[in-house]
Amino acid sequence: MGLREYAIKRGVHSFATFLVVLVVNFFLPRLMPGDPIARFMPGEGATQDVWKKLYRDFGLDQPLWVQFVLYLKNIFQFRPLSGPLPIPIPSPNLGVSFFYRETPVLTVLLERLPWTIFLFGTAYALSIVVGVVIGAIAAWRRGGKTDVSILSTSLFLRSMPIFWLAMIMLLIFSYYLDLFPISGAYTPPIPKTITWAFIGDVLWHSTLPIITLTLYLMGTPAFLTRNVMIDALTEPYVLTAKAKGLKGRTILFKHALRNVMLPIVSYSAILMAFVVGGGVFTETVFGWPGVGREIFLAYLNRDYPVIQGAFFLIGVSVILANFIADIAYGFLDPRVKY
Amino acid sequence: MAIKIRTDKLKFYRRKIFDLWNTYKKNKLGIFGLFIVGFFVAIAIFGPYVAPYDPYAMGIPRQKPSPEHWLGTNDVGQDILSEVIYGTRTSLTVGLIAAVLTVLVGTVIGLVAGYFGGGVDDLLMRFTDMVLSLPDLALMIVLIAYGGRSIWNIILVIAIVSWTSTARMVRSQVLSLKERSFVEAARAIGSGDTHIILRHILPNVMSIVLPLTIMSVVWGILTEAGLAFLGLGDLTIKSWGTILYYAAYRGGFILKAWWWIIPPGLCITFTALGFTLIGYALDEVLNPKLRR
Repeated sequence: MGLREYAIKRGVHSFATFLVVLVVNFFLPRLMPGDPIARFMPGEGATQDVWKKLYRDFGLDQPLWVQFVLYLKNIFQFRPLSGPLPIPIPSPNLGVSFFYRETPVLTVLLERLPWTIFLFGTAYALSIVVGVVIGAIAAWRRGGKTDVSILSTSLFLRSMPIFWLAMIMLLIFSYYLDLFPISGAYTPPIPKTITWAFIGDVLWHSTLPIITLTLYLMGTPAFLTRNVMIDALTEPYVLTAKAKGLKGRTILFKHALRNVMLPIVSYSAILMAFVVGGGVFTETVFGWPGVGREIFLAYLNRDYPVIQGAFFLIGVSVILANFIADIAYGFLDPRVKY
Repeated sequence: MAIKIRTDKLKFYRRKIFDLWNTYKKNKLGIFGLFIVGFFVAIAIFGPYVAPYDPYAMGIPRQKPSPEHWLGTNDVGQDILSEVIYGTRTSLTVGLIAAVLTVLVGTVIGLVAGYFGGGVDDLLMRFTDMVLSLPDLALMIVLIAYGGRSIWNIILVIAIVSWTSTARMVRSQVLSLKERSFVEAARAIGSGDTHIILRHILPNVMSIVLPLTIMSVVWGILTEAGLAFLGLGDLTIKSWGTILYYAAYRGGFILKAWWWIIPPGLCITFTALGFTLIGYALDEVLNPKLRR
């Protein structure tokens, strides 16, 4: 099987999974006890127009199958992108938030998304770099003191609940030492033009959450790297490199480290779920205005459309990430047979 | 005659367990893990006798640590030390039951898929892949938002999102086991599928299922704590997660109350660490090929 057929096969599989997300998302609120219509309706403060529009869009007074068709129609909606290239982009209608009166769910979530991507993108990159370096060092000094202390520290970090790690960082650095802000991503308001002062302010606010996440995330890449490297270091080509008289650092980072690429790629796909949604804990503790905290707030406010919209958004991201990781595998390792 | 075979078998198992224990004993970290877990299990069992106060009785709120209240009191004046002690039982119970349920479902699906193969396998594995690619935490929040947050619902929700990796690992093990000669021999003398699965395949799968169960306990305990911390737990029952939930939202930070925030988290971390160490050690003992 060639790469193209493989890609098609994975694509079909990903699409099937996407359909499952769609079906789960549709039926869950309707299967649960209670009035499903009430779950879609904004509170009493909403205007008649919004009520009417929701009834029309989602057909809440229609039979279930009509609702399902309407639901699919709402999901597969495209909006033309203005500009030189008028490409239609997907803009699913996910309903209206209860809490943020009459704001579409998609708008609510897209507003939070950049904050989450910034926070997790940074922490993720840092954790991979730090984790791989630490893991490589541990593998090189296998069985030594450095190795044992690295292993036990990452084991301990992985046993911690992340929200507790975040709480301790907050308690020590914000409350006891008063070095960092206690909540939020910036000192309001957001200026009209982005200034250096604002960027500095955001960086200051993001220091603790980024450190917390990096500490928490770096354990897995460190373990992965260590195990792969220990295997790789016994391979004949490393022996050859040693015989050629290459320096230890060169062997470690130029020859053995290449093997780590594959597991790291598949690990990053798993992490994608975390990047978009799993940040619920960190974002909640640090009051970071991202998607994760929005899920938590939506639960507190019983804002069902937002919870479901977030589930949809995260599901789609995870499926896409897995698909991309599967394909990337083929490019990165010529030995992979599909 | 039948009784004699029974006792022989008993002797065989006793001997086997004894051998395994002898290997396990050499694993220092495994023993350390057993000590940690044993300590918390003892607290879970004898908690009500150890706890200085009734954790639900209210008194003077927000006291600092003192000889009367070693870890102070919370926002409604409940003794935090007693809360932590009572919480042990909840966290361990949820972790254990969720783990057993997770592994049970995963093992059954893995066994059936691996043994029967073909269409059944395809169907079950596609299903597993799909559940696996749904985002855990978001799915749990959706399920709890609609299904309620009783302790049983939480256990169920944890099991629903976590059985998949067990199913995959058991399946791959079964795939290789069913081609072995002892299975062929059993089939040749006319054994049925159920008999082969239960008597020949299952015992051989146990060596990966047992460590997986222990690891699932870790996941169960951490998940329960996380859900409780988000206010998605059963807030009427004391657990480590709910204590931290109240600490975070009822003034634990402003008071700089390390005595409210540190102890429950340390309990979670050490319990998780203890189970992880046992899991690693068991894996090494039961799957000696993996030993480096």
